Amino acid sequence: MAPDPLEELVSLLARLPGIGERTATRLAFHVLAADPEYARSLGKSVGEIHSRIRRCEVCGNYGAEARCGICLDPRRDGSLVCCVARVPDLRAVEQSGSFRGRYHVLHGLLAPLEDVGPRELPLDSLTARVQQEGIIEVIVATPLNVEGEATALYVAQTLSPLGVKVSRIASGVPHGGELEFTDRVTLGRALAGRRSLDERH
Amino acid sequence: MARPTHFTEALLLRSVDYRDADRIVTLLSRDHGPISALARGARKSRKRFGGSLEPCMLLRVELAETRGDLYRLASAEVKHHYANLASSLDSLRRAGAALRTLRALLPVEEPAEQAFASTLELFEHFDAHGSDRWQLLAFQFHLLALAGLTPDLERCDRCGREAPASRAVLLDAANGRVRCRDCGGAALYLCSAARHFIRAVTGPTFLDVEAPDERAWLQARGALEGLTAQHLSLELPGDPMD
Repeated sequence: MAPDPLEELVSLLARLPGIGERTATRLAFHVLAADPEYARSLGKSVGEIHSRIRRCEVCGNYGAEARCGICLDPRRDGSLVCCVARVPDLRAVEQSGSFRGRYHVLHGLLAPLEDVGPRELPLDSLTARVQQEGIIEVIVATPLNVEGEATALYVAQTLSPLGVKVSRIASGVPHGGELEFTDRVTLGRALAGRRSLDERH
Repeated sequence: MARPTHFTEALLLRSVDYRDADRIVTLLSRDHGPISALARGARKSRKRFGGSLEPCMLLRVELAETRGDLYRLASAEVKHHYANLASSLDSLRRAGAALRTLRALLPVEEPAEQAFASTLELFEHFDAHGSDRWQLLAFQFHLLALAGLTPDLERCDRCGREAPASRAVLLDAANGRVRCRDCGGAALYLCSAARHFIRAVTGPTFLDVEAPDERAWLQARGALEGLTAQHLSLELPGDPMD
């Protein structure tokens, strides 16, 4: 017997993150009730995503061309590179509006608990960029957990001998946060990473 | 009726994302050995667990029994953060290898209080003095000894003569005993320094020993590999820096 196409669609949609069986059913019925042209466009767009989207050959960001829009933008500061683990992290930094440099996406992190070491996360392309592009500072914006910290240490260990400044994003009490309700590790890090206010006077 | 809850100290051995917001964590608990627990909301909200579900932290956890195999992690707070350990790549990677060793060696939900205490001792050492590859090997031999797999390095398995401390011996990994060089017939050569190292680290203290030289380290490492392959059919992590 041929498989039920509606059930097939529901089960495929339910594999997406954040989508349970019930939401998948609602989405499937929505697509069925909508203009057939919408369903065709949706299917075409999903079907072509792997052939139309590629990794930027310079920074690893996703885009339609060999080089992403950020790498091609002449207004970006090429001497400053923000190193992130994944493309969604790059998007988050972009949305902050606080950074006008360029990026480097590692597409992974060292994971001491899972035996993912430097061999599985080569930094050859970042090293080559530092040597060729006149980069002055690399800001390591990996997550503030053990994997992110291990990766940051590894990046620093690899790049520092090249004479480039390697910095780490600050961590501590979030904006609007109350000290009373801040966990001790975060508070400890905030104190360890305190900065002088002298420059303001 | 409310299901019982337990408070205990624990170290994180593994964390796996589950569904959108949750995590399944494997913990080495002081009272129950390795256990798995569902940490609801651990990925989405930092309110309940904060940054506590990370390796290299000694935690105080509250575990609630459930109808299934998993506990529910009701709360977790950091008792101690090994901050220096976490800021050294070498120490972090060796600590990771130590935690993988615990995962491989310890049976689930069997109390392992001594292994727990030894892990804290190793982490405290890494935190205070940095790490060296021989310390990971010492820890692995120590855990093997706690599992009852201490090799007998004192007496020849064939002729029964005591092997003087200054002499090299040949280890037969299959029966965990040695042959003197006169009798021969076992594959793993152990110089006197390697013998001394293994004997010391399989005793009650495993870090209070002299660092072995390269040759002794390699021979001791070979002995560990032979013993775990023969008796446990597994391969323990080597030094991550090699």
